[in-house]
Order: sequence, then C-alpha cells, then structure tokens
Amino acid sequence: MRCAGVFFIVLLLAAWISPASRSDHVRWVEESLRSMQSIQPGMTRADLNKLFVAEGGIGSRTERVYVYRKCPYFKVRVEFEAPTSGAAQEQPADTIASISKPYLEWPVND
Amino acid sequence: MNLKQLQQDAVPDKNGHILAATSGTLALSGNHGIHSKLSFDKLVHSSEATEYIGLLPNPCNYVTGNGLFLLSTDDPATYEVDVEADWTDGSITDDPSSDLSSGNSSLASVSGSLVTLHPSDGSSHSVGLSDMEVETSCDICSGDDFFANTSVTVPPCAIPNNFQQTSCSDQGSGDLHFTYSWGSSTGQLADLGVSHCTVGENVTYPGTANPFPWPSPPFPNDSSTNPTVIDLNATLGGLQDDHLLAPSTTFVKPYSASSFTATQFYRYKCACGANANTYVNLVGPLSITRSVSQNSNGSFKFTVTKSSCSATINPLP
Repeated sequence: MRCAGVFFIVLLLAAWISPASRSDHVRWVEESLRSMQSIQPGMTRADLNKLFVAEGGIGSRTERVYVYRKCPYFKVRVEFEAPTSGAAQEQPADTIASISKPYLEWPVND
Repeated sequence: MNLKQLQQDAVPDKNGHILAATSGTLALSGNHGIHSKLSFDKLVHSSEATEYIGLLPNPCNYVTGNGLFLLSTDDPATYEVDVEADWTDGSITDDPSSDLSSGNSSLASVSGSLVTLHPSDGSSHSVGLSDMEVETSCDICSGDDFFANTSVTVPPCAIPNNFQQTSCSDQGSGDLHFTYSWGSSTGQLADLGVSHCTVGENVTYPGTANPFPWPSPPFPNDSSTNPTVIDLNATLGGLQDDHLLAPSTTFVKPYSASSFTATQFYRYKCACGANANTYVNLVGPLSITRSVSQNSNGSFKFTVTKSSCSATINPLP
C-alpha cells in the first residue's frame, strides 16, 4: 500500500497528499534508496536476494532484472560474473559483476 | 665535446670550414699534431641528442625488442592491443598501442589501441595488425622506431540455432517455470558474443493498454508491461522464463470464470549475417493463458498454461 503511494508520488507528483504524509513517503524512498544501494558488485546472489527478488519473464544466470521486495516497481538490472562451470542454473554463490541504478517500471510477469 | 654547440656557434676548423653535416666522419687533432694528447669517451651520434657529453653516470637501459598482445574487454568482439617492450635491465613494460593499424579494417577496425572484430560470412579470417612505437633504442638512450606485428582471427558470423525447451515445472504460487537452450551455428557459443547476438522475447497482451490491467476481480490487481520486450546475451546458451503472479498474488472476490491470453515469441538478433540487426523468430507464437475456473464442488482454481505445461492454485483461498 505504502509502495503504491510512493509510486504515485514519483510519477504523478501527488499534490493532494498532505505535507506530513508526503514527507513520510519521501523519507521512505530515501531509506529504500540507501538500502538498495547497499548491494554492490562483488556481493553474491544470496546477498541480493535479501532485498530483491527476481522478476518474471526471461533471465539467465548472468543477466536478470530484480525487483525491490518492499516495492516491486523499483527495479535493478543485475549482471553476474560468467560461471566457470557450464551450468545454466542460478546459484546463490554467483558473484554480482554490475548492478544498475534503481529505476521505475511497470511489472513484468509474462 | 658538444658537436651541436660547434654547429650552433659556427666554430670553424683549421681551414675555416664550419661543421654543417649531421652525419659522416669527423677527424680530430690537437694543435701539436701527433704530439697532442686527445682523449674522449663517446661521440654523440645525432644533432638532436647532444645534451649529454661524456659517459652516462649509469649504464643506459634501452629496449631490445617489442611485441603485440591482445587483451579481452567487456565486449567479446573488442580487444585492447598492448605493446610489450623488453628492456636490457630485464624489465618488461606493457602499454596500450599508440599507432595501431589493421590490414583489413572492414573485418577488424582500429580505434586508438582497440581493435573490434566484424564477422562477415561463414568463414574465419586472419587479419594482420601492425604497430609502430618510438622506444629508447640503444646505449646512447635516443629514440628510434620499433615495429611490431601480430594477427587476429575474426570468427565466422554466428547465429543461435537448435533453440529448444528443456524443462517446464509448476514452481508453486502460480509460477510456471520454463528453461530453454540453444547452440551456435559455428559450434562455439563464444562466437555468438563476437557476432553481438541476443536471444529474447516479445510478449503482447490483449489490446493496446500499457500496462495491461489484469481483469480483477477475480485476478489479482496486477498489470503487465505491454509489450514486454527483453533481450539477453546469447553466449550462455540458455535462459529461464517465469510466468507468475506479480506483484500481488491475492485473487480478488467475488470469484468468477475469467481468462486472458498473452502471445509470446522467442527471437534472436545478431549484428552480422543475412538478417543483420533484425529480429528473427525462433519459436512462436506461443499462448500464455491464465484462467480462473470453477470446480465441480463450487470452489475456484487458477491455471496458467503454455506449451502443454501448466501451474495451478487449486482451490483459490
């Protein structure tokens, strides 16, 4: 519910929200941003999964879009280091090679 | 003795001639002919390098040879070309090439120290690369031109082939999970990277609304990006696909029979070949159908179906 409110704030600049409520939402976004930016290259997929969950649609062991667990409209595109073995299955120990800045997008669930 | 200084000051010899040449033979003698005692350690060999007179305080370190090496980059089609120089003190230095040229720029183009491969047909090609560097060249520590050559192999233009479904499973919570695999027309998945190939999907939902709102009730109050277009690097040779309930998994009452169908194509795109930079269909159209239907006992169930595989929530809470 709160996530949906935040989403509309960002997209629609919801002027009808009271200043106090707006301040709460802004603070929540700030906290979320700090939380999301705590995931850095070199960390593992297991670390990522604490804050994010894989989005629907296609992905591979080396490329996947993840959505923030607290608000699935917040997304990051994550690339993992190429596996040394040929297995295509995602592994918790896979190392993050790069992670995009968070961005907003409608859901992908195929 | 500073020969450059002799030239600049136009100092005449015993016959009144000045030193004009920058190469040739120079004869030295003292005022007393053979009875004069002259000693010198070194003559500077060029007019540009006459800042130094006499022996160097330390033995000179200079380059005896160099060679070219290719270093991979994030782009599998691009390499950085480095020059490795071997020095007399045993050290080896690596620096990006500063004057690189290609023997065939349509197959291997050069930009600075980077060379990018451009597969063009069904064959591999060897392309020569050459480099010219100015290095410290001899024991007088002056600069000279050093040339180095190497070759790079441009692989054949590759495209994905043998795309096939390898599994499907009900992951629970309404998630229908698929895995797919493919190969390379050259037999080497890495060649798909050099050919800049992607494998992806294009999924469209009914109508033109973006996002497409799921009919709710009875479906969760979800929506889908319409169309959904995703492309992945093709070099891994596999992907997974999840058709799931997101963000909400909560079905909305009152329940009633309802369904909607999305249409999916799997496709690839490569930067070379007959269909360069154009999407080519691999599989599709495939129907992804989500439905809510009533059981004989009056309860309702959710089913998502594709390619004769399905995931179910039965009964709906």
